Amino acid sequence: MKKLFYKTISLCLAAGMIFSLGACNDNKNGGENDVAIWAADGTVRINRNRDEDDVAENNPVFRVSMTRNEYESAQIILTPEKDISAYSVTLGDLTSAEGKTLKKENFSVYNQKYLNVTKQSDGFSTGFGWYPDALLPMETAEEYGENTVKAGENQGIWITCYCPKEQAAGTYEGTFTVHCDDKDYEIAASVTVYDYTLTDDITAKSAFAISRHFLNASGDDTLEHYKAAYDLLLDYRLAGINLPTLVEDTNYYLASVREYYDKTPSYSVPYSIKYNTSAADTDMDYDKFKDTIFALAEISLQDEKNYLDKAYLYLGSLIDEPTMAGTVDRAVRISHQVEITKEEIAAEMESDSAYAGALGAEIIDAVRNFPHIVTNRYTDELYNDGEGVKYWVPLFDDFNSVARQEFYENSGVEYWWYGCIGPNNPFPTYQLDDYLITSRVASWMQKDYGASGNLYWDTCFWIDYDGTYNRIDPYTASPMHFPGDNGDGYLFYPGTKYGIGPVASIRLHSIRDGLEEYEILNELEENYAAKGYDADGILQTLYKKLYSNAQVKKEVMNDPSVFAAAREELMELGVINQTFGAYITKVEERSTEAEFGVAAEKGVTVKINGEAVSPVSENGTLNEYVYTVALDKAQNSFVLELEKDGKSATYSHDLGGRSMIFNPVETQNDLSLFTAGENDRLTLANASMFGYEGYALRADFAATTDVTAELRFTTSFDVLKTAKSLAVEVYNPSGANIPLVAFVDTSGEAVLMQIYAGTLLPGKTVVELPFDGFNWEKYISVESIVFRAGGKNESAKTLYFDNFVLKG
Amino acid sequence: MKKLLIFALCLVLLCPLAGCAERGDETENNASALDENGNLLLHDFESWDELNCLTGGEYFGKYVLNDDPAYVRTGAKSLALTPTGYGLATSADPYLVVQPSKVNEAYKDFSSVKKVQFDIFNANEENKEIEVSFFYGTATAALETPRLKYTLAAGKWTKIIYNNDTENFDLVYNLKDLREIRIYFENVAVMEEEAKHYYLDNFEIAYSEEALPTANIALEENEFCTFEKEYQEFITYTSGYGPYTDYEAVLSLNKDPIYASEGSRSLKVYCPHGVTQDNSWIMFRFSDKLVKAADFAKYQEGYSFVFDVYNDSSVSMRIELDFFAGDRGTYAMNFYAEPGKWTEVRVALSDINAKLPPPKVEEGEEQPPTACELIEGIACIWGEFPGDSTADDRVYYYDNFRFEANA
Repeated sequence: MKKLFYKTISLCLAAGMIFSLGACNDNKNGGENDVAIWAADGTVRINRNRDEDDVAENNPVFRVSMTRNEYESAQIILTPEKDISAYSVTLGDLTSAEGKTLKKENFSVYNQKYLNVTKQSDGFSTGFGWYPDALLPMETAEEYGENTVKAGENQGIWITCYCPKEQAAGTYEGTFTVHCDDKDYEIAASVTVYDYTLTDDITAKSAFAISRHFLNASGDDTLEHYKAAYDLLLDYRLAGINLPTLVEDTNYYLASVREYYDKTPSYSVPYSIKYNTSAADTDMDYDKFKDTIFALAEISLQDEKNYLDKAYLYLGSLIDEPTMAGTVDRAVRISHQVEITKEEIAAEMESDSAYAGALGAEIIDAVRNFPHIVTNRYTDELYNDGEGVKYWVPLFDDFNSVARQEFYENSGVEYWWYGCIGPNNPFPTYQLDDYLITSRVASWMQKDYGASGNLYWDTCFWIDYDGTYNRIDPYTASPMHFPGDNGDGYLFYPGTKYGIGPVASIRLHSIRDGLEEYEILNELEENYAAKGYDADGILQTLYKKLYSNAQVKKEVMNDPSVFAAAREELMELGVINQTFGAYITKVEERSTEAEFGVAAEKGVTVKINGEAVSPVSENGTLNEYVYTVALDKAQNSFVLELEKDGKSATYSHDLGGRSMIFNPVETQNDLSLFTAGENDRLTLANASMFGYEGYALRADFAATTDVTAELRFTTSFDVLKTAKSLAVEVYNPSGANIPLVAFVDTSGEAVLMQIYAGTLLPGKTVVELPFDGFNWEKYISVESIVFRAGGKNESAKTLYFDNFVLKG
Repeated sequence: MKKLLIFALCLVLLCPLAGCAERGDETENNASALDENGNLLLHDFESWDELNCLTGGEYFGKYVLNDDPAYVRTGAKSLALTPTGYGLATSADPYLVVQPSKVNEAYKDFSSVKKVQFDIFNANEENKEIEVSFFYGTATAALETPRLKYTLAAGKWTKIIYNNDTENFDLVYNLKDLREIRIYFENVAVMEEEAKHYYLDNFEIAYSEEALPTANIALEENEFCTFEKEYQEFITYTSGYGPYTDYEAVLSLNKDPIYASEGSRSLKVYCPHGVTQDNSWIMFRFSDKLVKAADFAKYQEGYSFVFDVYNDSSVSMRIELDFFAGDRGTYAMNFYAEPGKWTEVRVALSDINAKLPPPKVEEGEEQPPTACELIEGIACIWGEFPGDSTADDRVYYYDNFRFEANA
């Protein structure tokens, strides 16, 4: 029998995020079918037909690590030699060394259902084949006889653990049993619970459409079914656009707002369409909009709750994607009128004594900042000098540069983002034939880039659209319902034919996992800010491991342990903050060292890299510490240990390999290795802008015509053959971003080869030129490194370079 | 001929089920065979695959398989229906759509179909009403046949029969292109009322052994359409250009003589308001078979095409009268009907010929036909007009379409 194993399982073990099975093939009942039982974590898809040629022996254990009040999943895969006519899973309680129990009722078991990708998605696809998506509850699969497996095929069992809020931290172990016809297989199971409780709050806003008319394809488009779908999405920390009621009726709408306000992160305000005779175009009924806002304000006063702070306006049937739809004029007109109407409402409230108190002021403020979101990137035309669109919802790929990210962050108003049949990988997607992890990392990006909400065009597009709408069975039809991308437009499945409610998908689980991490990130930001610290320093070190400019890194897609390591570090940050009131207040990575700032509650014993440390300052109830780690070992790290009242926690931050100075640019001799254009000037200058004593290279580039400013570094670079990278600190004193590209001039090729491209923001940037994997056989040796800054026709500029450091 | 017809039909019907029932195995309900009465059991609602052949309109509600034998007529299952509509008290009535062509493409040919029948159980405490209609296809749209109303006694099965009136339907519809069979239910205000429940079973199509009657257009001298003859109730249909379907005209036979310029009947044209001025174009059109039977060629010398129109609304709007003359083009003429009065509209047929002249030919070559000889369709068209409520809708009455000798 050809055994099928998951080749990265050893890496998954290191990540501590996998389910794996111990003592497999425990042939208790004897039987003739040999079943390979193996495991994978919840960040990958295992297709039904998947061969692995070069695999490691799988030693599967069901293993998850998670916080309290969180869901985490992983998979057991069955690959039998012969057909299995019935399989099932028996769960067991898990217990910790301290005698605590994690009950089996906290686990949910699902049968993975597969869809056949026969047409690859446009833009990017992980290939043809049978992809798992719908997760049918195991008891339903058994009832309908779908718990079967064909010989040689993979059948995934998805197991989700929910950790109760009151569960004690620790590692819980036990046994699950997989029954395959007449054979039982016992699986060791392990769940590690971090000493951290995830909040119930959902601060990430969302507008994931549930098109009630497409529910018809399931044979049920009742309001009841719509509500079940809405509630399902809420279980996954998502909000449908419309509340699950007849929103056209204000009384029903207000009742639903009251019912859902505490549960949902966001909800839309209903609107009516009215013809605008002067514009000779369709428009919104602004009177009705006013009435609805006032109605929301009134119940806010009655219930002493600002219901308006979660509300938004999305005129999807009037001005969706206006640039593409050719409705720019309409979008400008309506957006401007909405702002005028908001101001009229706010002014009216200000003159009404009912709004005189603190809550009234909050409501008025909410009205003025009430977002009317428009699915479009910023354009001058739509903005119309401030009399047009104000609240942008660009596509994910509009955040593909620091400049664009900063543009939206500095806009001063709320903005969302979205994806819709594009963009494709390496941007995040909810596509079926894409790496599952991108749908999870999307929420980390959302936090990083400050997008308040995420919009998705449909979650139940159970129709095949080829110009006409054709009803299909989404469990069996081609997964490309709308031309372009497989899986796009639907994230759950109808449960009607099984007599159950809506059925979630693997993608929905992945989205929830990301949104749970979003809340941990958000809590850290808020807690840090409350103490006057900025969490961005430490969080950026996690973000940059996963993606750059909204593009998920290849290593994250190819190796689950990369994400697992970043997540584990996030958990640890959460634990030390929530349990010990500790903060990583500063992370400054320099050439050969890294400096950390730490704050912890007084009374907490602090050790860093095994040493007891003393505070250097105080901040209220916190002691503040500073610690510098020399990057002089083959593997360097920052390890923070906290202890108080018998409780302890550890936070570890990997700092990579050795950093060795290659050229410190301190002397004329150092400087002599650099050349530039004949009108440029290279000197040694004070290195204070880097925060150091000593000198740095100052490059004064003259204005250019048809050429780019260039700095050439020429010396023997043979030592690069054993290094991972060459880093240099660059300081940009101007207020503008400057593109920087680096090339190597080699003896093996006549042309320069690009090795780096990035942007120098104002201030200091560490530029790292990668040499790990460099083709020395082809290029033989590097004779010069050439830096080109800016564009071809530019005014004069100055840059500073310091500390060329070998890393690794 | 009779035997040949049945044999041919059986060959067609023995084709394997396609589309929604295509799971490799034949369904157990023998839907591919006619019974001894010439009836095809289209749906016995025994498997979920059959439901892929159905759909719902106006937020139908719920339709699922039922296996409670108390609500099964034959077999082991039936279709459980919980029609709601969107759910507001003012929402449109929901409808279930049965599409025979989804079971087998051949089933859309209704030229030999006498009737459609099905059993329906009213599981509510009070009597309920449903309506049934067909949707036939045309070159550009699908048209609905008149809806017939049926009363369902509470707690009982009722057999519903909708006759395929081929003689009248043939006037306008393409009997070989049956698109949908619709069953309309009462809307339910879901926040205030209990849900209503029904069960459907034995959905059959009854075929005729003999050829069925087709269009029989009888015209008096100079008559085009007076709406006084029975068949003339079925002689018009709606259509349009652009996104018109939400504002489609509603045509009905008026029997109030106040709104008839001659005799006691006329055509009532209800024009719903739209959203944007002239964003779409709505029309009613006469059966092409009527136009052909009327023979414009006979009247082209010295006659005018005349009719009367009454505007029962408070505003006047421009209506365009179109004569479609095939490749020769369209003759269009605008008219306005003043509110609250009858207006006569007159077009000299010679003017049509003059405005759409034939191409020049060489001497000795056969003269091409005149425009009047090519007229194949006649329509009245108006542009979508905005409004806020049904108070803004407009009503017109048309009557006494005729040919009159020019003075």
